[in-house]
Amino acid sequence: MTRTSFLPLFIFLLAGCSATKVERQLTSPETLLGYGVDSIGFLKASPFLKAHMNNGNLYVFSSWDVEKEGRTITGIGILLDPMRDTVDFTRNVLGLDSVAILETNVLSKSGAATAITVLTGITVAVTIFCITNPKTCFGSCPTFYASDGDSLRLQAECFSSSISPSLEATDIDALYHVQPVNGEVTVKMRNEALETHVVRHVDLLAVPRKEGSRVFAGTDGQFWKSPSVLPPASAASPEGDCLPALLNADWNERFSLTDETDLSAKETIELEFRVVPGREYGLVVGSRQSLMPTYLLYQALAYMGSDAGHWLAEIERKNITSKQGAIKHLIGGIEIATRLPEGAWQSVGGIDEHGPLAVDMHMTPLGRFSDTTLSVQLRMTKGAWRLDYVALAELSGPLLSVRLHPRSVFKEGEEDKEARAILLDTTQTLVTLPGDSYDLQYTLPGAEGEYELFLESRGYYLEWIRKEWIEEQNPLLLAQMFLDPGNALKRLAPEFKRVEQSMEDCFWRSRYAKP
Amino acid sequence: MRNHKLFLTIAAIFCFLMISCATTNAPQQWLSEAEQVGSDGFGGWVDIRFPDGRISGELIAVTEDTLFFADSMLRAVAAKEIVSARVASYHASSLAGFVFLGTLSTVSNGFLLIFTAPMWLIGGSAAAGGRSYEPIVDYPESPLNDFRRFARFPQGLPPQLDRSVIAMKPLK
Repeated sequence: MTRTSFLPLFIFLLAGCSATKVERQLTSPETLLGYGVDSIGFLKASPFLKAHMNNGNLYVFSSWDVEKEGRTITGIGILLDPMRDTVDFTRNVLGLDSVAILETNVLSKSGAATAITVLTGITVAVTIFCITNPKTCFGSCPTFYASDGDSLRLQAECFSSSISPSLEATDIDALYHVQPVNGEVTVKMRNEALETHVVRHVDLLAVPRKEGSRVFAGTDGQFWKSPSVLPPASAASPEGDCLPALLNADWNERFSLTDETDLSAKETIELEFRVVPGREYGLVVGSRQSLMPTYLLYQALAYMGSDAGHWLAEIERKNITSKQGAIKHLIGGIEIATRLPEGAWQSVGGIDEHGPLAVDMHMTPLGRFSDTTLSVQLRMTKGAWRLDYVALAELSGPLLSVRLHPRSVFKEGEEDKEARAILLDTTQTLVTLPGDSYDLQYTLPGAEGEYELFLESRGYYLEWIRKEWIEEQNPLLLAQMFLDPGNALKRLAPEFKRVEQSMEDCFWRSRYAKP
Repeated sequence: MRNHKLFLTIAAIFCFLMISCATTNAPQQWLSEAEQVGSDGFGGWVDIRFPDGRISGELIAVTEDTLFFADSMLRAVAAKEIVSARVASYHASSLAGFVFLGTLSTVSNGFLLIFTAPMWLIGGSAAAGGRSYEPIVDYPESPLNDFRRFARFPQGLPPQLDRSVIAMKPLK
């Protein structure tokens, strides 16, 4: 059943929202006389006027009026006796002095029906939204949760770029907020999307550290000890001062919206740090992608449509080169540059970790400086990145990590020894389906608090092609994405702008969980 | 198995919420529809509970100390003997079916039904419950005098009325 086939049901539901209720009011003739002829409009709201007579008879007027003197009612109606048998059907002139009481029954829309109307409206709106924006409704990446001391929190998403077997990759994510309990760490691995996750291993890398210091994973592949971390003195973005959003790793993020005409349009943020000359520093950036790259991936899969299998096989066979996948490079990562003494900007590296869910911490070694002020520029595609945290880490040397395999694995509360054996065997892979959830338990080698923890995972995942996407199959537009990505990003800009504002909220609410 | 459990859970919640709907002992089709009640000369349906039993019929009149109702004949009940009573003035079309269909329609919301289906179950059931109470007045929650509006003779029992001929509205 397609979503559009529900529209007749909605129409039927809306028809049912016309339920009425009745407000009955009794008015004595004396009260009516007190109102005067001009003030009886409220009685007219009732389709019928009932005049209860002192002798038990009842006049029911279907059309009526009060004479100018206000002492008689004239109208067409029926006269019923006390048994409510019809006595007469004619035009009547009724003296108010013979009436015991007047009754009106005003019909109005039921409040409950209004509530049903609202519910129907919401459901229709969501349905239309899902029909027109299927790429915003579903999707996720392999996600890892762990306790930050207070609650279970999303700490990492892994191998987000590995959308086919040939793209299987190893990913290291800082568990920056994780708090071990009694020397134990439990990581919950979830499949929250319509995807098949193929996981080769999930290990913890524990790096010893002293209390008060931190360890960062460098973009050079090493773990670096940092005795102190310095906040920026200033942070200037196109919209103005963005320093407050960058001071703490708290999910209060700085982000921008995409350009209206070109999804590859760039923006820069300039930061200043106070440094001690001669010491070695690295730039720490806590960031995640926006949903724009995810949207583009899903758009490409939608253009592939029913041929998605063929195209993914072409990627597997390496018949599609990295050059032809240039759209990814046009969006790019976060480029980092420092200002040279003569004023020019010098590129010193970048961050290009994919994934729109979890903030990941990256540290780019910058070297030593002779001045007391360090200017850093972050250049990125507008609307493509969300920055949670930026700081300067003083570096005091590289460190080695201790690899920890899962001590035990639980699935739905029961120990799963087979899953653990698979995760320890590099020749095997653990396959998870939507809604699957595993608890991986690790034991730290020493007392808690002495280790900085990183999650190392390896694997890939397969997106399930949604039925809604197939309707968008278009080889020509797919070819444009591969061969003319610049123009594709311009063409897709207004389409993405239409869903951009609501996409984040919708995306997070669409996580798949088994009931 | 999980889907089966989910269905049972939803059905149980739906049934529980529907139980909260107002009911009366009025025979089927006895009460007028909302649109007809303005031209109907009869009283509403009243259910009365005494310490030792229940009785029902058409509400005929209410005075300070007496409630008159009729089944096959006119009856009078002393107000002080009434433990509780409910009068229904018209038949409020049930919204339960719409709530069921509304919940069903959230299938079209993809995984957002995680939010819209409970919204329908809870909000819709509350609305259906509220709808069922629209034509209802309960005693002792409301004073017995509030029943007067829904009596055949809201002005009180006419003094010269031949009480022996009064009976409740015949079934349609």
